[in-house]
Formats: sequence, C-alpha cells, structure tokens
Amino acid sequence: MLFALQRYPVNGVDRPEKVVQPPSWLDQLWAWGTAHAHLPSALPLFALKMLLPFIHYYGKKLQRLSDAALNQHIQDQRQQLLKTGVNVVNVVRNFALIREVARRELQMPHRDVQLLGGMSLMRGCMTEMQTGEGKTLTATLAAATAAMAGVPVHVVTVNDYLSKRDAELMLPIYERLGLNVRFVVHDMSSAERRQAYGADITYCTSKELVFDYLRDMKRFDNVRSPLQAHAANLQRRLSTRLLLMRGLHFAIIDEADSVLLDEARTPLILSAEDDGDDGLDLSLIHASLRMTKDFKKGEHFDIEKGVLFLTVKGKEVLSNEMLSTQNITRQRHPLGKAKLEWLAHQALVAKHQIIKDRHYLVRDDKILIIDEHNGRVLPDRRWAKGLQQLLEVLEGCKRTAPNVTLAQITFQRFFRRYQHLAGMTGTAKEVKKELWQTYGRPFLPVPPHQKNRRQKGRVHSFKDNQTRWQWIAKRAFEKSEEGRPVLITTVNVNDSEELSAILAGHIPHHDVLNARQDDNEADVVMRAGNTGAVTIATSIAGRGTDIKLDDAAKALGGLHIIAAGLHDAGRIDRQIEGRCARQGDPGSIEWAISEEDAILDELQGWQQNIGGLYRRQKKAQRLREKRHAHQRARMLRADWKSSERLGFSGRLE
Amino acid sequence: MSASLYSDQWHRVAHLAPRLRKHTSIHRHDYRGAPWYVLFDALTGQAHRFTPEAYQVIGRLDGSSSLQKIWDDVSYEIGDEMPTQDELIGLIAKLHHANVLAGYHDIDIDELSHRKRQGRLKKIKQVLRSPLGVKIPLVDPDAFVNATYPYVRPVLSIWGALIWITVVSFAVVLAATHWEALTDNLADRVLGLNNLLLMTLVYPVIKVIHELGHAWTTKDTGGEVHEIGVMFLVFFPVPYVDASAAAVCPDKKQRMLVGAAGILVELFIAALAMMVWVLAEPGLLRSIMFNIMVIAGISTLLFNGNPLLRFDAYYVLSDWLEIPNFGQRANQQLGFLIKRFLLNKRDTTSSADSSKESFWLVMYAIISFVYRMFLMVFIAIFVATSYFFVGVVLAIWSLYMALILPSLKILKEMVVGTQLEGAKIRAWCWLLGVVFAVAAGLLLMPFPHSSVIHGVVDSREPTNVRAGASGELRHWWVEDGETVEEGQLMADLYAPELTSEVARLEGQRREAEFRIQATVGNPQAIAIELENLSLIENRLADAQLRASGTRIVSPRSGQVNFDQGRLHLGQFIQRGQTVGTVTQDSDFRIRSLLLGHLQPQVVNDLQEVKLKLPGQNREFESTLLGISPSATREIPSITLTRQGGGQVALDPEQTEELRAYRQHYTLDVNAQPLIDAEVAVALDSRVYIKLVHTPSPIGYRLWDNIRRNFLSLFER
Repeated sequence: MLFALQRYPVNGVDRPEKVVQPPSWLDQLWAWGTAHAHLPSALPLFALKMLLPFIHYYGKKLQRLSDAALNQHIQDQRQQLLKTGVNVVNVVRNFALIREVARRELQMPHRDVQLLGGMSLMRGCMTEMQTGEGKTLTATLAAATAAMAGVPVHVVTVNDYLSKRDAELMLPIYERLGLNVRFVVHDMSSAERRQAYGADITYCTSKELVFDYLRDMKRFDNVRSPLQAHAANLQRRLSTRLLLMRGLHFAIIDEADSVLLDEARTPLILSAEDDGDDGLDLSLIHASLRMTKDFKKGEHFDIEKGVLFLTVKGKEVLSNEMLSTQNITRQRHPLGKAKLEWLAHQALVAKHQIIKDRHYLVRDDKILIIDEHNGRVLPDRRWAKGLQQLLEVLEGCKRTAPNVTLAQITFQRFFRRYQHLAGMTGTAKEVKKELWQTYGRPFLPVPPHQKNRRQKGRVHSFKDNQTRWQWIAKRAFEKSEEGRPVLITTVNVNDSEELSAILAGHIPHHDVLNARQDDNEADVVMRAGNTGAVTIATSIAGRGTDIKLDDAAKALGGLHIIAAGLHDAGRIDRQIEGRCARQGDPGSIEWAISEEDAILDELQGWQQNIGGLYRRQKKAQRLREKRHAHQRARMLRADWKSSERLGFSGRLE
Repeated sequence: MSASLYSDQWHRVAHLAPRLRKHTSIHRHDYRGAPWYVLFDALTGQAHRFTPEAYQVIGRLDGSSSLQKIWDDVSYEIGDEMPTQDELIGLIAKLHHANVLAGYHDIDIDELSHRKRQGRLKKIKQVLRSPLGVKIPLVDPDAFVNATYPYVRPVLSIWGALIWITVVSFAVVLAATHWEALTDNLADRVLGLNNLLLMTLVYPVIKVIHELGHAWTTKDTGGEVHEIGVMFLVFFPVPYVDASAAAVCPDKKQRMLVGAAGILVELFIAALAMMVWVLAEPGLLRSIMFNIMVIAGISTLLFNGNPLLRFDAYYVLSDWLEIPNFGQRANQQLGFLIKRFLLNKRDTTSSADSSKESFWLVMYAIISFVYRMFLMVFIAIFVATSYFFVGVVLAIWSLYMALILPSLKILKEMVVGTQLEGAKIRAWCWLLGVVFAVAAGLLLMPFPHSSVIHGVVDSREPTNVRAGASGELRHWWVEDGETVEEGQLMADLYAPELTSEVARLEGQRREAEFRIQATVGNPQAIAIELENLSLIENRLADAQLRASGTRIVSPRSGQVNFDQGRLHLGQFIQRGQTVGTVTQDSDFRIRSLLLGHLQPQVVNDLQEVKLKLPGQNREFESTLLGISPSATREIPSITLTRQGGGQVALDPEQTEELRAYRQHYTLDVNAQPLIDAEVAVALDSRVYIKLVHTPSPIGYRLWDNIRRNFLSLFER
C-alpha cells in the first residue's frame, strides 16, 4: 500500500494509541541494519513523482468547475474518503482538490514539490524540504486529506506564534473544505483546549501537546486499557468529560529533527506545587550555599562532560563540616551524609553549571528558564529538586514553593505512541539513521523547486569576542548602508546584548530579538526584511522564522546574515543559513567565530591546539552532536529499562 | 553520585502502599559476622536475601504506609546509609517480580500475562543455553519424606556421625589393605561391557538415596522439599532435588549438612559395599559391590565433591565461607578488578569486603573457568567420539555458549554498551593489545623448534666373518678386539673330507686326461671325454674353493668382535655360519624410528642434528645419513620400544616379534662424531637425537597438533 491511514475510534475513553513494546535485540539489530543498508530514496520519490500527472489531470478538471459545483465535489469527495478510506486514488483526487481550493482561496496552488512533500507525509516519512520551500502549505495536503478521512490530525509547530499563524493562514483552505481547525497556545483554559483538540485539525506545539496528554493520563491514573476505561467510566471513577484529547491519531511534526531529537534530551515534567515541605526549607538552602562557598572547581568538585560531581576532598570537607556542627549542637545533624552531599551538589550546580542569561534570566523578580534549543523563555517552567529555590536565593528573587513531579514523559516516548507519525524539516539528512532507529520513520528528501541563490561568504576568525563584536558592527553598518537588511545571530542572550551595546554606536535603530526581548517578535520579524534593517537575534530567529523581504531589499541582494559562532549542532547552523535566500530570493551569509566561543570546551587535551579555529570549532560541534546522540540513545535505553522495572507501579508516566 | 539520591521515576511509586503476601516469612541470618535477612516464599520455595538496610524497608511493607512515608522513615532511621530512591524502587521491583507483594492496586492482567510469557521464554532459553543440563521435575516427595523422616531422625545426631566415621574409616583401612586387588586393571573392569550394564542398574538407586539424603536433611532444618526430578547431564539422567528451602535455615552448619548430605550418604554406602566386597566370593555380588564402590565413592567425590562445579560441594563451600552466590560474586569481583584497575573506572563497587576475600573470589573465578573449559572440551570430545554428528553439533554449541557468546557479549558491550562509557578507548586498547600480543606471540614470534627422538647405535652389514666351509674349528689366530688386516688369517678349520675330495677329484682328472690321449683317433670319443674333463675340473675347482674355506680370513681391515664370545675349539661349524665380526669405526651409525607425521618436516626442513648420550650433557653435532623411503612397522632394536625404555609402542596383538603399533620411518644418523670424541659407545646403546628445525611461530605448530589429534580421534 502506497498510502495507508487507518481510522481508529475517535473519543476520549477509547483513546487509541500505539502500545510500544521494548524492542528485542532482533528488532534493534534489524533497525540498525536497515538504517545502514536500504534502497536509495530516489526510488520512493520516483514512485510518488509518477502520481503527479494524475493530480494535474484531476486538477485541470476541477479548474473548470464553478464554486458551487466545487462545493458539491468537496462533499462527494469527503463521503468517498469516509467510505473507502485512504488509498492511492483518493489521495490523488483529494490532493488535486486541495490544490484547487488553495488556488481559489489563497491564490497559492501547491507546487509539484509540495505535492511530493504532501504525499511523502501521507506515507509517514520524515520529509526533508529545503528551508523556505513552504512547508506550511505542504502540511495542509496531508492534514486535510487525513481529516476528511475522519482521522484527527495534530499539526505540531515549533512555537505558539507559529501555531496561531499557520492555523490562521491556512484557515480559508480548511474552511472551504468543511474542516474544523483550531490551535492551542499556552495561555488557554482547559475548556478551550478541549474544544481545540476536538477539532478535525489542531495546530499546537509539541510541549502543549505533551502536557495536555500528561494531564489526561493523570486523570486515567491506573486505568490502562480502553476496556478498563469504559468500566471506570460506568463506575463514574473516570470523568470523561474532563479529558482533553481524543487519542493519538496522526501527527505532522514541523521541524521534526528539533522536536524528535534535540528536545528529546530533556524529559517533560508535569509538576504541582508541593504543599508539604520537601525537607528543603530556607535554612537548608542557606546552609548548603554557605557550605559550598569556598569550594573550588578542580579541587572540591569537577565537571566532566556536562556532569558535575564532588571529589573525594569535597566530600571530606562536607563530612568535617557535619561533624563540627554536631559537636557544637551536641546532637545529630538533621541531615544524613547522603542528603548533605546531595544538597551541596545541587548548590554547586546552581552556582557553576546553570548560567545566567544562557540557561535562565531574571525578569520581574522571577527566574525564567530559557529553552536551549530555540532561545525562547519557557513560561511556567521551573527547575526541580530545589534548584529553582537555590537560584531564587542566589538571585535574590521572590521565593516560590518547591514542586513535586506528577508525571513525566520524553518526546521519544510520546511521539512513538501516535498511530501515524510524519515529519517535515529542512535538516534531517544528518540524523536520518537515528530517526529510523528511534521512530521507525523513513527519510525522504524532496528536491527544491528552484535553484538556491544563497551566497556563502567566508569564515572570519577572531582572537577574542571584543574584536569580533567590533568587526561585526562595522560589517553590519557597511551592509546596511548598501541598503541590504542584515541579520546577526548570536549563540546566547548575553552575546546578543553585548553586541547590541556596541552596535548602538554605529546603528542606533537596530532591533534585538532574544529571550529577554521577545514581546514583539512578530513585529521585529516583519521589520527585519526591510531595506537597511539590522536585527540581532539568538537562535530564536531560527526555525520557522520567515523574514519577508521588501522589493528594494530583494533587488539589492537580499538578506545578509552574519552568524556569530557555531551552535550545538550543524543542523541549527543550517537552519540559520536558511533564513536568507528563501523561495528563490537572493541572500548571503558569512561567519564570525572567536577563540572564546564556548563550544570549544568540548575539545579535550591535544585537540584544543590542533588545526585552525574553524576546524576546531567544527570538530567540537561534531563531538557535541555525537555526545547528544549518545545521551539520547542512553536515555531511550534507560526509558525502556525503567518501564520494564516499574511495570508494577501501574502508571505509565 | 549524590545527585541520584532522588529518582526521576519516584512519582510513579511514591503513593503505593504494598504489603508482603501472607505466604512469605523473613528470617535473620549471619554471614561473616554481618546480619542478613532472608525472605522465604513458602508457595514457590524461593528464598531471597536482603541487607539490613533493605530489611528496614521490607519490614515496613504492611499495606498501610506509602513508599514515600517508608522512605522518609527509613532515611531518618539509618541516616548515612539511607537507600536512594532508585535503590528503593529497584528493591520493590525485585519483590514484585518475585511475586511476594500484594495489595497496591488492581491486578494488571496484561502485566501478569506478560510476565508469565517472559518466564516461559526464560525457561526455553535456559534449555537452549545448556542443552547438556535439562531439568525435568517429576514428583513431589514431601509426603514420602514426611512419612520416613521419623525413622531417619535418630541418625541425624552425634551418634549418627560417630557411626559414620567408624564405618568409613574402617572401610578406608580395608581399602588400603586390599589396594592391589582393588586397583588391578581398574579401567578394564570399570568399562567392561558387563560392568556398564551393572552400573546402569546400580546407579539410579544410589543417586536416589543421595537425593533423599538432601531431602531428609532439608526436612531436618524445618524446610520442605516439593520437587524431585531428573536432570539430563550430557544425556545421562541424574536425579536432583530442590532443596532451596534449606536456605532459610539460619544455622550455617545445618545448611552445610544439607549440601553435604548426599556425599555423606554415598560414602557410607561405599564403605558398606567395601566391607561386603572383602567378604564376598568372586561372583555377581562382588562385582555389584565393586560397582557401588566406584559410583558411590569415586564418581561422587569427583563430581559432587568438586567445588569448582556447581554441585553439592560448591554449596557447602559457599555456606562454609558464608558467601552466598559465591560463583556469581567471584565473576563480579573479577569484572570489578578489570574495570577498576585496567580501565581505570572509578564508579564501580567491589563485591568483596576485604582484599583477602577478593583474592579468593578472583582465584575461584579463574580456576573454575579453566576447569569448566577443560570439562567442556572433554565432554564434547567424549560425546563426539561416540556419536559423531550429535557430538559435533553439541561440541559446537557448547563452544559457542562457553567462548563465542561471551566474546560476542564483550564485543557488544564494547561497541554499543553503556557500562564502559568513558573508558571505551582504554577498554579497546586493552582488548586489542591483549589479542594482538597473543596473536603476535603465536603467529609472528619465532621460537626454537626441535624434536628429540631416541636412537640406537648399530652397525652396518656385511661385516660378519663367515665360515667358508663346514668343519671342526682347529685353531684361533686372533683375539677379541684385535685389529686385523684384510686377508689376514683368523682361524683354521679341520675338514679332512674336503682334502680327500680334492685328492679324489684330482685323480679323476688325471684319469680323464689319459683317456683323451687314448682315444686320439676317434674324434667323436674325444669330444665326449673333453666334456667329461671339464665337468671334473669344475668340481675340482669347487672342492678346492671349499677346502680353502677352512682358512677363515678377515674380509676387511678392522677390529675383530666376538659378540657371542669366541667359538670353542673343536666345535663343528657349518658352512656360512658367522664366527665373528670385523668392524670399522665408520660402520657405526645411529638408527632411529621417526613417526609418520614428523617425516615431511625432517625431509624438508632440517637445520642440524645433535646427539646426546643419556646421563651426559655434552652435545655432538652430527649429520643425517638418510631416511627410509617407506614406512614400516619393524623395529631394529628393543631399546627403542616402550618396554626397552624408548618411545615406540609395540603392537599389542603381535607379541612374538618386534612390531610397532604405528608406522615409522627409519632414520639413520652418522655416529662418527661420537667416535671422534672417543666416547665409549656400545652397539645397541641408546642415544638421544635432537632434530633441529628452523625457528617458527608456535601458533602454526599448535594448530597442526590440534588438527592432527582431533582428526585422529575419528579415525576408524
């Protein structure tokens, strides 16, 4: 079957979702083998291409229909889909129909590559489309077809802004097709959410999706199977009306590599404020900070590969401390040794590993966590296990109550539960093996519809950050004088603000887009394409940001990007690259890297001194990618293990 | 690491309030002075051992307090040694999988059936993993043990022990006095066909009594025995009994007794059999007793009494040392040492409490591994020689399980495993280093290569001095050992009939000559007479030759040797009889027999030949004279045979003449160096010949040897 989309019962109690069993060693071996040896992706692409003439043939027929006749045709087509399910003929006819609707409603008929992308999504592939090829429009094909066939669709976007924008942008198409489309953003009430998830097509972010899922699971408690759910429902133990979702049917994930891999490293934790005290009151926090005041890196504690640990000496100092307080008070220390070491560890992590303006920022007397992957503030997200409280004391913020975990899940686990899963991204080539091994989704690259006009500039190396900022300021000024819009991307918030301060001397009217200043993101992005505009942004301006150029800027050579430093993964750099020269526009990019870039920490020993700066940074980047991939693999294994071990708990999350 | 005090998964279990099921009981034990707690499940007969810290948790599982509360309480109670949340979850999971927890939520059918499936799968895997040790439970002997226990009870006392000691020591004394009769051709008797039949009859009876010994002693500790069955060890049925209930018993001596009961019972039976054997007349009874002794005495001590195998003695040892799971811990400790010191990993924990314990554990791990390997190869070969196909399959399978699978596991751990995280490069360095070092040592490094064979000094033919005529020995002209020239007179024979025959023939010749003269006119008659004359002359020449044979002369220059002593004067000697030998130094050579497989090597690659006399350290350089082109079974001298202290095995079927069991090539070596060095050598004396080849790596040689030996096993 070229296309197969099974329909499952759509309601909150049945909640169809895949039960994922831990893979046996044979499964693993098979996945590993097929990841390395498979048919060239040109073959399935060719098969899909064979269908294009048919779509055009039907499209021509539909073009001749009047609006009323088209509406009638839509009705028939929907009936047909519901009756016979998703098959090749239906997909071809439906794609032609959606294309025609898009032409009439948005004056944007799908291009061939988008049709290919849409079919690839219907096949459940991880579809790679170059940045700026119009993935939003592509998604409508698969989403609308599935929805018309009675399968609820979740279109997963990178952020709330995009969920809202995409849903609203594509609304005319869906409305014409008679489909109900809604979106979920962070500050919605449960009633609104329930309504949104009840729609045929729901646009939402991965995080909202997961947390809503966890909230539902919380209600299910020990109920594990649909049968038990029905029983519980009859016994009134389960209030189905309060459930938000209707099961995991079909997800189309935008920027799939980011959601499925990069963000998969941190589990998502649903927590509540702890009413009882967790043994971590203010005095203990102060005590832990006092105890670790004189601790030095390398002597009392050490950080290796991102993990902080106490050395033997550090532990000795702690136990001496404990003994001395015992002698003074002539009673047992309220804390055991293990707990004391844990406290000290947390305090050291808060002081040395969590860095202000990179991992968090302080706003309105509150600690706000920055998303490492897209540089945005994560509202309502808090660190667990006292870290939040420790930081609040350190930063002198208002103290909040500690929280307890209610449920947690990783993206790896969550998205595999979907009955059908498809993804789109501009950068998946490097991770196609991992996507196949972890999610079992094949990779399919769709060629761009026209040749890219991006000019890649050279890489400029600098001894320290100061000279780099100076150079960037000068460079940005030159380019902006030429009339070209300039986008400067930095690795973290701090850098962007440092640069902004220097740039203020040359260009007083530039924009800054980072976690601290993201209120008017849409406006900034809109302005960024204007002639002569200069914008400084963190990776917040990465995925999904579509900078529209004005005509003058287009004529002068398009957006010029100066990337200050390499990011954690080559894929993110490629995303930054993808901000310019979109959809056939011209554009250029150049790099400015410095010896002081944090990514060089990844190198150990002799590697620190071998080769030029760019080569070292690239090497460090590769090492970091590898480390993260290892981390994900380890997490997946640990996940399987713990789910096996915790089978007795009766709870899934 | 201190950060893992709290677990990410805690929220999933914190609210649970499990309790222990009613059929479980907890017992306190002391191991090496430290208290341990054993949780016994009366339903399955399984025992689980826990530390006092774990007991703090388990003791609180009453169904009313949640795990969160238990953890808080335990943390407060034991302070520094408090368990981390992960450890607690692990403990609860372990209890859950042991089916001893209840009462925390609805029964999850899926999970239950999943676990059951896994259990069944595990059993199948177990069979596949060790097809040579399949267990089949047969009956529940509890009723029988209960009924008979009162009769056995009195024996399990100090009096029983005294009786045992008396009987066994008496039997040992008896065995010592009848040692000769007992051991005379033991192998023949043990493996004779009749005996095998008897053994199969006696064997099950003895083993059942053995197992009952375990059962009764288990009963004595207060446990119950619910499973007795048959285990197929290398296809041979062996009864076994499930005495795991004994693990509950807190007294180590009693536990040891349970383990040792089988051996004790069998030894006792063997002792009784010994006594009967001594008294009985040769016959069926006596041979049955002999078999009982062999099975109950020797085989028991070899198998059950060997702590390197996981049979009775292993459990006794483990109880005695108070180290449960001795073998497992030994392996763990070895792994720990490798990780800690070779791979320099810091986050591993030793499973030994002291360095002494560690030493014993590691020693045990290594020795038992080597022993098991040895046993495995032995069993595989043993089976393979009897049933070729099955045996080869089994051998390959056991080789796979014992060597290849662990290697694959190590490899997998090295490639994708997480345990070695951070030390992988080091681990690879070590692994490749060791593999390369061994490979280089075996395949690249040349080692001196030589083989030593035995040879005898012998002398070349023909050097015999033979009598040219028959006659009476009249005079010796030479002494033994005298040097003679060629043609020198050695002895005279007295043979008067020869002289008279010569004279007679001379007379006849004259007569014939006269006749020729007389018939001068008649040419036809002359021709006849001439013919007659030549006939007579021929006879005369022959007779003269024989007559000259009475003078025995030396055929060559050399030394006179009378091996059998000089013949006595006046003795009659047949024509052609050897009267002595004349030898030259150059006649001596060293003759040896070369095994077939060594021949090509000697022919193709012989660097030097060295000679050595027994009892002397001097080596003499020599040369090879030649190798016979074909192999033979003939042996030149008894010195070379096993009976004569040599290496060549005699063919047992041919007792009359010297015939070798295997084919050999004859090899001759120059003895001149020995003579030049003026070493006293006698004919037929032994010389060691060292055949030196080009130095070559030892690996190829080993491979050749193994291949040859392996193939020779299947030669029919």
